[in-house]
Amino acid sequence: MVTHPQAAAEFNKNEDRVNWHDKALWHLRFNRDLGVKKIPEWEQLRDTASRIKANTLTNLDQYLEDFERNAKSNGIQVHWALNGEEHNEIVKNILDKHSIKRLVKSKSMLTEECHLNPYLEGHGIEVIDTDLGERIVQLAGEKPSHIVAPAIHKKKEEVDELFQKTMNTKPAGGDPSLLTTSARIDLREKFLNTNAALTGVNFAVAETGAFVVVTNEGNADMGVHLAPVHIASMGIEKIIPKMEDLGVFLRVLARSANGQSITTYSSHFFKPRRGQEMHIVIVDNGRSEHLGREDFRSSLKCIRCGACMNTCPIYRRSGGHSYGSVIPGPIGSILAPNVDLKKFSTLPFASTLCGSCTDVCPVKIDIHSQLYKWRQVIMKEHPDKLKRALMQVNGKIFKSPKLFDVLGKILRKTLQFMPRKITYNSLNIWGKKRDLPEAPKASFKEWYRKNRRHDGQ
Amino acid sequence: MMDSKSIILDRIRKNKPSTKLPVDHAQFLTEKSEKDMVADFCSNLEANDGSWLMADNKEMLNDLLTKEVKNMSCVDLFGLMKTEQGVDISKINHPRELAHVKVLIVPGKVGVAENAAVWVEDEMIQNVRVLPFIVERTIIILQKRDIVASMHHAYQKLANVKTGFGTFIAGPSKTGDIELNLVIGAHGALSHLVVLVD
Repeated sequence: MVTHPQAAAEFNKNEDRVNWHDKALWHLRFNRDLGVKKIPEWEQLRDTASRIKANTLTNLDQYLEDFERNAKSNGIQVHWALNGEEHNEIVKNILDKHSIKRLVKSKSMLTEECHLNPYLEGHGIEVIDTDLGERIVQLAGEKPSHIVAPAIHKKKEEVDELFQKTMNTKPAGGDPSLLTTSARIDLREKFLNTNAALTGVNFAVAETGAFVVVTNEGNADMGVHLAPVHIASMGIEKIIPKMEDLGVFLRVLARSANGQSITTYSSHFFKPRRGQEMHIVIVDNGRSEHLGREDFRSSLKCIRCGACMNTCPIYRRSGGHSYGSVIPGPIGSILAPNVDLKKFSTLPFASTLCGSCTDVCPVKIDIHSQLYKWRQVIMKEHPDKLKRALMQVNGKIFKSPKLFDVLGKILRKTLQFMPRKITYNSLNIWGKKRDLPEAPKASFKEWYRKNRRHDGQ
Repeated sequence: MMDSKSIILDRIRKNKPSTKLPVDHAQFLTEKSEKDMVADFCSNLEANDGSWLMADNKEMLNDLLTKEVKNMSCVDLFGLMKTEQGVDISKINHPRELAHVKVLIVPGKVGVAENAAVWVEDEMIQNVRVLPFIVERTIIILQKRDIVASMHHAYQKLANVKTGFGTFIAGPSKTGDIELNLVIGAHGALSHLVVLVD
C-alpha cells in the first residue's frame, strides 16, 4: 500500500508539473470566489443548505421510504443495495434481462466506489464513460483525479496523443476544441446505438420521488433519452426532502465548483418516458454505519462540488491520485477512513489544517475539524511508533524548564556549525521538506531578563 | 434473512442523529422589477455563452426565426414557422432519427434571471426528451413575464407542475475537461439562443 506522503513525493519529483497543477486548480478556486461574490446572501444560502442536509440525516429512513414510494408510483423501479457488490449485481441483472452488452455511463463517483466498470467488463459488458474527462481517464486506463474535473492531471498534448492512439484521430496540436469535437463525434455514435444508460444522481427528492442529474456537457441526457433502459445509481445520502430545497442546492453547487451560476443542464426525472424502463439503485455501502459516528456523520452532507479540493494547498501540490481513495482531497480524507481506517490512515494527515476547505464548503461541513479528529482516532488505533516516541521525548523536554533552557542554549550555539546530515537526520521527520529558521542569539527568557530593567521596573 | 432495504433502514434508525433545525426559504424570495430581471437574464445568459434577442411582436418573431433557421432542418415546437424544412416528430420511430436535425425551436416555461436557466418539460417537447440535446442549436422562446428572480421563485412557480421530465437549460453544452479550456459544444447543443417576447 502506497501512503499519501509516498505518492505525493513521487508527484513532486516533477516540479514544473506540480506548479502547473497547483495553478490549474487555483484557477477553479479563483472563479468560485468570483461566482460566490455575486450572491450577497451567500452565507445564508450555505447555512440553509447545511440545515436542510442536517434535517435530512435526522429523517433519512423516512425520506428514503417516501422517495421509494413516490418514485414507484411514478413507474420507476427501485432497488436497494447494501454494498458495492450488490449494486453491481443489480445493474448486471437489469442489463442481462434485456441482453444488453453495452452501457453508456455519465459521471458517477458511486460507480467508481463500487468498481462497477471492471465488474461489468469482467462479465463481457462494455462500459463507455461519456463525460469527456472520464472518457479521457478511461481511455488512458487511469482513475479520475478530481470529482468535477476527472482529467485535470492530464496535459492537452497527452490527451491528443491518447486520442490518436485509441480513436485513430489526426494530430490536433493539443487543440482542446478539436479534441472535444473528436470525442463528440466518437461518442455520438455510441449514444445513438446503445440500449442502456447509467447516470449518477445529484439530488433525489423525497416528496415527489424525482431525481436530478446535472451536467454541462449534456452527456447524461444524450445517454438516457436515447436508450430504452435508464439506471440511476445513488448513495442513500443524496436525498433531500422537498422540491423547493433544490432552489438552494442548485444555486450553491455550480458556483462552488467553478463559479458558474448553474450547470448548463439540470434535468429532473419524474417518470420514465413512454416505452422506457427507469431504475434507481439506492446504495448504502458503509454510509448507514458512518451515520452513527457522531464526530464524522456531517461529511454525509457533501454534495460533491469539489471546492475543498481546489482550495487545498496539499491537494493542489500532491494531485488527486496521491490519495489512493475514490474521492480525493479534504472531503475524501474524512470519508475514506470510514471505509478502511488502516488503508487510508495517512489521509487525515494530508492537510495543513488551515481550514480553507471548511470555509468554502457549501454545506458547511467542518472538514478540517474532522481531519483533526480522525488523527486522534488513528494515533490510538494505528500509532506511528517513531512519531509517538519522538513526541514523548519532546514532552519530557517541555515539561522541565531547566532541561529546556539547557538544550536551547546548546542548540542555539551549535546548530549553525552542525553538518546538515546530523541536523536533518532520519529522525527529524519535520525537517524532511522544511528548513529550520536561523537560530536566534538569545531565548526570549534571556532577552527579557536583560531588557526589563531598562524600563524602570 | 432480512432484505437489504430493511437492513439499511434499520441501521439508519439506530444511527441517525436527532438534530432538527428550522429552515427558512422565504428569506430568499425577494422580488425584483421585470425590467431588472430581464436585464439580469440577458447578461447572465451571455456569461453562459448563450445569446438573446428581443421580438416585440409576432411578425418580428417570425422574421427573426426565419433568419435564424435559414435552410437548416428544424423542429418547430412553437408552431410559428411555415418552412418546408420542418421535421414532424410525431412520425419518428426512434429518437435517434433526430440525429440530423439542426435546430429546435421550443417555448420555455420559466426563466431565471440569476442564471439564465429556462425550464423546458415533456409537454413542450412532445415527450421527445432527447430533442433539446441532440440538435445543434436550441432556440427557446420565452415570455418576459415568465422570468423570475431566482431558483427559489422558479420552484415556487413550478410547484404544481405534473410532468414526467423537465430540465433547466442555461446555455449551450460545454466542457472544461481538457486543461480547463472552455470549449463550447460538448455532447449537447453547440449554440443556444433565447428569444424574449412580450
